[in-house]
Amino acid sequence: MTEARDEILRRVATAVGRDQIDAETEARLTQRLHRLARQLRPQWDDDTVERFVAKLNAAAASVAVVESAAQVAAAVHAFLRQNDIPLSLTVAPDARLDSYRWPDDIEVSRRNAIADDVTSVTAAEAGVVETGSLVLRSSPTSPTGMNFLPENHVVILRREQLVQNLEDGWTCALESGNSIPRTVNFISGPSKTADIEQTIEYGAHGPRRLHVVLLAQA
Amino acid sequence: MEPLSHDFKARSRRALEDPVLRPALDNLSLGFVEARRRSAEALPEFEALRDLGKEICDHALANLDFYLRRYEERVTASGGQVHWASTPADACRIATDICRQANARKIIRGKSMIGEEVGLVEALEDAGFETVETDLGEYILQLAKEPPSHIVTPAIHKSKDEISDLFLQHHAARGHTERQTDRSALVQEARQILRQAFVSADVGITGANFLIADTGSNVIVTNEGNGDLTCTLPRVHIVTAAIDKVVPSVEDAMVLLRLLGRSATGQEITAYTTFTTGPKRAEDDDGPQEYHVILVDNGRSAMLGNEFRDMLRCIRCGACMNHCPVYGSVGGHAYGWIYPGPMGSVLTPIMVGLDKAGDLPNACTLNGRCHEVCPVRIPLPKLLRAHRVRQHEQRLGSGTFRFALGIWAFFASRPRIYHWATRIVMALLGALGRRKGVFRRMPLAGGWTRVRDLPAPQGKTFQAAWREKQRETGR
Repeated sequence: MTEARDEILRRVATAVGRDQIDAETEARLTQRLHRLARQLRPQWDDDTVERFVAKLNAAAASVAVVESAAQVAAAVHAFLRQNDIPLSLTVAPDARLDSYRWPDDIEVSRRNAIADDVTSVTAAEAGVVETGSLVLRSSPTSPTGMNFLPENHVVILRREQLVQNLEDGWTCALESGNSIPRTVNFISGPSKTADIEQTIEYGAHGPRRLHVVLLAQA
Repeated sequence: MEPLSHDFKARSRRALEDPVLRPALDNLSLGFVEARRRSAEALPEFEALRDLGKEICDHALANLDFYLRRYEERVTASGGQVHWASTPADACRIATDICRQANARKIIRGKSMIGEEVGLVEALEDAGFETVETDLGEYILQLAKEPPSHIVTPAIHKSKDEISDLFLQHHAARGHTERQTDRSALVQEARQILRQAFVSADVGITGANFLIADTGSNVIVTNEGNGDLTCTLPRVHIVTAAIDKVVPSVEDAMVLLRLLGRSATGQEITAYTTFTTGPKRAEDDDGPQEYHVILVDNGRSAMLGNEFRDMLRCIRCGACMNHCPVYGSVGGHAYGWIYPGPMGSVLTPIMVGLDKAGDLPNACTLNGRCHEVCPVRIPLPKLLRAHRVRQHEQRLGSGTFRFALGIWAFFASRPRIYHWATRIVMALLGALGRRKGVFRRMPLAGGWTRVRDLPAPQGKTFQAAWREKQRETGR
């Protein structure tokens, strides 16, 4: 095993023209890793919220922009009714979702999702305006399965969590924890496939519907 | 799969007569080409990003020894394990051993070209494991027992009718006894069948679009979400990846991700872009207990040191094949191995042998579109020519061809004799063909005239006509 490793690394080193990495090169390359080089990033003039919503809509996700936390539950309720989805939610055991008062006719479970769940509700770390992507970080209170197992996925996001570029989304995902999580998901629309005659169908393996509730005020 | 690239000519002929393939390929060249163009135009920074993407890949390759070591360190620090495979056989053996040690029975796989390259599924099935492909396209091909014909949309050559038949044949025993003809019903049926595979699998194997040296993460992009379920639900996650997938940092990966989706399908970003780092954390509720990475060389370290290094920048977007008139005519299966189109015509001779894939670098019109659209500016036509040079040096190919090339070389390297000789030949052909304007038959040109007419020259060489025109316009 280590034989193959040493052999491959030796061949690679020979191919790039050196036996060993000298101290100066090592320092230069290490510095390139640690200085978070701000490379070329897309820019635009559009309004932040407008662009974010338009990007998500273009990817077949629906968005409800609400003014206050008190309206979040009603927005989710409306989403369920509009799409004839059973009134049952699996809400992530995330403290950020504790304060919402769900209407009495919705059955709510606070746990990780299982394969048969219809709709999950999670909180995002950030929303990337560049691409209309939601950034989700795996943790005990935000398990990755919630983002993929149910038929419908509802994500709740606050206005001040919107960031410009994909790189900023990654930074947010790291900041909200002490270390790199197992998984960081950039989600940009519902699950889809074009594997049958190059025509798009939604709900291939992951959620058929992605609904974002964007809370404009804290 | 057993490479069949030596049979390119016969396979192409069959492909040209395939009634299902024709509309599929037309659709591809219309759909993806147009989508790429639109998404590139919508991003003012696109061309600058291509330059930057090329620079990042070149930098990573020039320092691959450093970045591979750093990547291994970071994976280990996150609780994962890195394995190194020089050959496809090594990679399969390592994967089989991991599955055995985990007492696995069922394995699910997310689409990856490196898995196809090393023949992973065949190896696992030979070792007695039940293996299910989870990408819908790959799953269809697994049922049909066929190789992929495109690196991004592998089942492009399959019609909906064929898929309906396949599903009925394979799913009837599992309760789906009605033949579905509606696309969404077919997708729904596959979802139900594959969901069972997801929840019962012991090991999930995915590829990696990128590996990140700074963090030890692997990046996968999908639209279906199958890759995410594959690396979240089973208790063991194995990543198979080639050594050239390593980039320095997340920042670098983001640049390449902006190029990948746009070049592949015209998408700004795929539905899911996922960064995975190590196994589940102790306190996590889901995720695999074991995280393994198998790094595969398979000739890449040699390419790093020769004229094919540029090819290692490839991010497997498929733009070169979408824009290739040859791929657009014959499709992926004609190429006889897993990598079709221009990138395949460069890689296949390297990986299966130039003597077994000699037609591929010649099945090219050198029109240059692949180079024009390659997001990381790989000079594919130049690399195809490099294979032709090697063929000549290794004395491969037919004696007649080499003889003719020798004659041409004699004249081409003696400009005066060349001008004199071409003037005579053009005058002669011009006179002979003046009446009909074309030749139906011509000695030594049977390969051409058998299927089409040869237009008769106008009687002057290009250079003579050019000089005349210059004089006329007084320049």
